[in-house]
Amino acid sequence: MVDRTEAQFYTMEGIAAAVLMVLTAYLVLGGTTIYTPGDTHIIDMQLEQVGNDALKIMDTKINESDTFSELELYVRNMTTSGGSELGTEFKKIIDKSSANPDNIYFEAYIYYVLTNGTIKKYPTDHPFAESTQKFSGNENAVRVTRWVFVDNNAPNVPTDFFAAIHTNKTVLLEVLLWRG
Amino acid sequence: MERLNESGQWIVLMGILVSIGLFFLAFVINQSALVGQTTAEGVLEFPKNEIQDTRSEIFRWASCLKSIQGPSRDAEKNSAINDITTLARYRRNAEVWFKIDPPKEVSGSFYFPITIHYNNGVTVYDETLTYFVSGI
Repeated sequence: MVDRTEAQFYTMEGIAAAVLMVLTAYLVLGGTTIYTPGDTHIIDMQLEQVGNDALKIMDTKINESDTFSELELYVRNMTTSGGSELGTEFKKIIDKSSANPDNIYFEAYIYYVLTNGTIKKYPTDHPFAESTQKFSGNENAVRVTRWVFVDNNAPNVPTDFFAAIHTNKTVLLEVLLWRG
Repeated sequence: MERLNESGQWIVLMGILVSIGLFFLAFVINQSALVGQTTAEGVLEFPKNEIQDTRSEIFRWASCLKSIQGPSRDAEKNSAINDITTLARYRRNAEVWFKIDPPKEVSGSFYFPITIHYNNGVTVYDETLTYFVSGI
């Protein structure tokens, strides 16, 4: 009887190769699918930081002797030129360079409280400041907010802004940011 | 007995070595994605900007209160607390409470004792401090 075992080796090789291929495919697929949730968090974090930094820069007085920061000036004049000035300045700060503008878009609203505790949004029908692209609701947007101090002599504010007792107020500036 | 062809064993052995290498690479990629995700989640979850902003706004109120005397100071304080607690609760998803006590004299200078509580459900932040105001 002739002892021939080649076929057994071929079978073992085949099984080993099959196991290797299945295992590799499993590991590679498992290694890549986890990217998606991690990625969105990282992008959200960076966008949120960019927005918060921009608001912080605008809320810092340029000179120590200044009475108001830029942001406070925009909000003091919210019914006149404040919104468009805020939009222009915000865009300038969030862009990496003016030659290559970033594709970050935004819209901003102001929220203030009446003495009876009601929260009012200003403006009610359109954003206080906005970029060229409008928010459609489908974008993955992040929200950044900042307190803005409004002194009791603010000249251009809505009629119900100050109560009978003319005190200073804090309003909340809310900016929605997304990448287009 | 004729000699066995053993080159197939080398193929299997090399296959195992390559598969171990691939396993480690996949593991590294897997972990790197997790590291980025947990870091970003940690940064997003901790309200660093909100706490810094709330502190600076309360200090802004304190330096504004120094020039106001008498009963209108209480009206100003109530306005500050009403604005900040309401907006924080409904627009920032956080409970904020603070109080600014009348200035105290310490070694010839005046300080506002300030208490701040911040709680957004994940992070609780409490602070008691004395805020220096010049020119009282």
